[in-house]
Amino acid sequence: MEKRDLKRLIKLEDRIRQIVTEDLGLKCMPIEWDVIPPTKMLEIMAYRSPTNISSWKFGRDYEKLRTVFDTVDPSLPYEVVINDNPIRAFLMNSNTLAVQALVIAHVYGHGSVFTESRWFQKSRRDIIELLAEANKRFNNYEKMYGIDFVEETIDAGHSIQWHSNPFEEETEDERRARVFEQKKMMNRPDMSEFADIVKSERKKVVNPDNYNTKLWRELKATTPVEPVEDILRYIIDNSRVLDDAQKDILEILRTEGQYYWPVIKTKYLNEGFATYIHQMVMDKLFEEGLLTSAEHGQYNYSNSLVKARNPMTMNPYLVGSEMWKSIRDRWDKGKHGREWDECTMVAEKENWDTKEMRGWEKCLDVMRSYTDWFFMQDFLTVKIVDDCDLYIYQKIETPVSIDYVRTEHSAEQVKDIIISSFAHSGIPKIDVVNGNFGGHGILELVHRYAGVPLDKEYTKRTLRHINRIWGNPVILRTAVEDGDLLYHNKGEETSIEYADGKVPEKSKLRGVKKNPPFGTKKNVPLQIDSPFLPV
Amino acid sequence: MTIKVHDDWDLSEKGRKDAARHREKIDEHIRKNIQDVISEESIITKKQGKMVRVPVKGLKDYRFVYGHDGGAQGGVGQGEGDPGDVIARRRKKGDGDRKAGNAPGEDYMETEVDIDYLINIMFEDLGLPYIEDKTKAETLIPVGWKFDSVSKKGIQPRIHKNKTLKETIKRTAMLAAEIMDSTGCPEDDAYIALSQSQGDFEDAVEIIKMDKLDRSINPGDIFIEDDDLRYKQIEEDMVLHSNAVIIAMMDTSGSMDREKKYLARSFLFWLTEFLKKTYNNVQNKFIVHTTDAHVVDEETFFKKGEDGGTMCSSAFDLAGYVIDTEFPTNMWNVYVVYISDGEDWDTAKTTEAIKEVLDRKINMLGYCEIDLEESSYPRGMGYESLLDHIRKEWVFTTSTEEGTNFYKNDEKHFLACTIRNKRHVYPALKHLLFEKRKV
Repeated sequence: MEKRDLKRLIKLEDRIRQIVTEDLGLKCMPIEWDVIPPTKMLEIMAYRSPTNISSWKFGRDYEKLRTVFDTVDPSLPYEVVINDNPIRAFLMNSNTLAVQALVIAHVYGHGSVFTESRWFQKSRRDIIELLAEANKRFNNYEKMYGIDFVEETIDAGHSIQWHSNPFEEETEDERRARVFEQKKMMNRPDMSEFADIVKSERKKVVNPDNYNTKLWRELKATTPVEPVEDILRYIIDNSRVLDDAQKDILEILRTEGQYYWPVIKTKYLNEGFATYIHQMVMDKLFEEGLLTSAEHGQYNYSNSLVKARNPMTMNPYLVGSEMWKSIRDRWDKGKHGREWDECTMVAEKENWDTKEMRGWEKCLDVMRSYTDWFFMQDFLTVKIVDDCDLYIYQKIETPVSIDYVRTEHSAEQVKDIIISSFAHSGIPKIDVVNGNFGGHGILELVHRYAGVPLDKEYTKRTLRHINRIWGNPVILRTAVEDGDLLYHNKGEETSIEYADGKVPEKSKLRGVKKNPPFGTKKNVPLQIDSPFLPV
Repeated sequence: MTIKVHDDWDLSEKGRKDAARHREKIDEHIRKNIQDVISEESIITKKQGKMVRVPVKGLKDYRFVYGHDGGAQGGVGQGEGDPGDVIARRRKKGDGDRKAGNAPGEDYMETEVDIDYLINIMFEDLGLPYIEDKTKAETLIPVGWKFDSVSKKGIQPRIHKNKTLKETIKRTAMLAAEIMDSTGCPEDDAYIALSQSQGDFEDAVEIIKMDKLDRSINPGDIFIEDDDLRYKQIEEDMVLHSNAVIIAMMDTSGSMDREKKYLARSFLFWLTEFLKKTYNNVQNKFIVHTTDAHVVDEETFFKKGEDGGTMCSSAFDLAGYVIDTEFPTNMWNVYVVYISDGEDWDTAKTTEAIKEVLDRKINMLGYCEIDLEESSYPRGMGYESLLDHIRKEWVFTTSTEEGTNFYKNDEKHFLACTIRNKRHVYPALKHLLFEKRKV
């Protein structure tokens, strides 16, 4: 990079920071920038982080990215930002200054979300150093125990690392104590005034002390005492086959999973916000003459690539930023609430303006407290579905080909299907319910089925991974459209069968059962983007 | 805040190392699934030099994901258009594989593999059976390089030090003798004089005559001259090997539909590729037949399609003629491999033709019959294929592997087998090349 360009870049960065923190009133931790060559950029993208551990998966992705890079429009901005303190962000040295400014403004958008959103407040802000240290240790393990051993553990850890919610902090002991206290309450005699006429569910216990001891003993023998979401935590704490090196590896992967948890849960909100911010900032920079009119053309082109409509997937940059634009507009003009909802006059709605002017305020409130699931529920509108040309497609097999065909769903229906697909951000909810099933040390998992089944091949292979670190067979209860399924993994082999009637509490295996979407018999599962897309 | 420029951060050792590890895993995957990999049609059609493109299932990171079997059933897209528009279409493969394993939505990626690598995995130490030392016209097979002879010309790195020194010592001794002759001095003086004159004969004689001998000089010095230099000669190391010819014959008649032809070609493709790699000087002859037979070149053999009736005997007649005129069995190891679907208009005549070929004392006759599990030409009751007929004529020991049969007649060196689906190509090849290779 030339000195003159660097000087301009420093000046631009300074101004962008001012616009974001002063004009827009956002808080943002300091950001450190590294300008690097494309190969390094691609490596960081493939590894998700500049110091991540070694794995064939990242090598594969690196190779893929490198092949794609040569065929992709060079004007497509690439960006990596890490939620450390200070925030670390990477710029590609082959970009034009206009694109650099776009990326810097975009990263400041992310930085504000990192700093202000409540969902990022539990994040470790030393993930780069943590992973760098881990990488060194893992390399040593590789030398000591061989690559296959380390790889097997890493693959197993990777397979379930997204199932750790950083906001669930209760330890098993705390949980047991809590459940004990709750159940103890049930043992007190009913003191209400209708106790003599209303049949109480509480048992009359003659000797409370004896009851409590028995209850405690029972709870002690139950593991986990309540279903837990954090599969890795449970395995690390309770597996009998893990040695210290393996525990270290799994612990790190779990931490990494927790680091990405809010990133996955706020993808559309976060990318949309960053895009919305970079558009506002760039407009301002051009207005102030800090960028030339020739650079305006470059920016417009790159920005159109960021917001491209993809026929097979939904673009979070486009849909997200349109949603923020819509929120601001609606709360500026008061287009919300009961009166607005009940108004049926098209003309009146079009000219609706109560001069409420709370749009930006509302945006900040939402940014600070929402995840994608509620963001979509509350703010995805039919108008956005129309404006972004969103549609649902379905796979149709013909004798000669596999076709993906647009369905007949109305915009209203498309909106509802999209919203329902955000229930779990593409990560199925799976709980550990028993660590000693049948007294044989079998790990029992339950998938909270909500209308969309698990992929069989992936599930089988994942169970095999879990088996490796659990050291005993694993069973998984789930369901498909026509009944409950039982996966039974015994090492290499996994059998799948319909659960018979003997399975207790059949109905409880299902979570909230959703009605199938309108117009189709089959539910339409949605391809949720992997959480780490380039750009 | 701070902007640092690192134009030199171009090294990505980790990326490269892990990418190599991924490659390694794919190789392992190929090794394990060799039976499926080699029966991929694209190998034969997309062969470029020594590399072939092999479709492999990309290695995935398995985790709990939603999905119906066979990938996503749908999703959300963006763009203009109307309901009913096809936004993407994937053609199904037309290789007639109706079995599972090719589930739609499966994520295949192509990788380049060295054909020799595949052959190594497939055949390890297998070789041509019943090979004999024929008396004449043996083929020289290179096994490496050797230094055998010495010459006066050559390049610096190949100087033969011992031989060169010997030459120098010899020449010095001769010079010393001559000095003694012409001056009558003692032997030691002659050597000293030669050392003093740095090997020059005239000067040495002068020194002795002028009595300028410096006796402090070591008499043993020798001086190498260009004439003394000797060089090693590098030569190809050859071993004598018996001549061998493979006559590959294929039925291209109408009953051999697309899938059967492809299986036949796949089988013969690997056979010839393997022989080319393993035996440098094995000759190949290719014969195709419908109602009459032709000798064709390799490319035509693997690419051409034909239609028409079936007279299997024509191929064997032609093979007999080729053997008599070009590859007499007293000089050549002759291998005849024939592949067809067993449909023949005159099996009795074919059996006679086979007998005649066998009577020429060829080393082996291999017959491979394609009898598909799901054929577009189903066989009727009472139908007798060529193989059925042959089995009445000769006695075979039978073995079964993976649902297909192998037949072997050790006395006549007659091997036969059936191929019932793609996965049988590999066992069939192993059946024909059962001999341990002697190299």
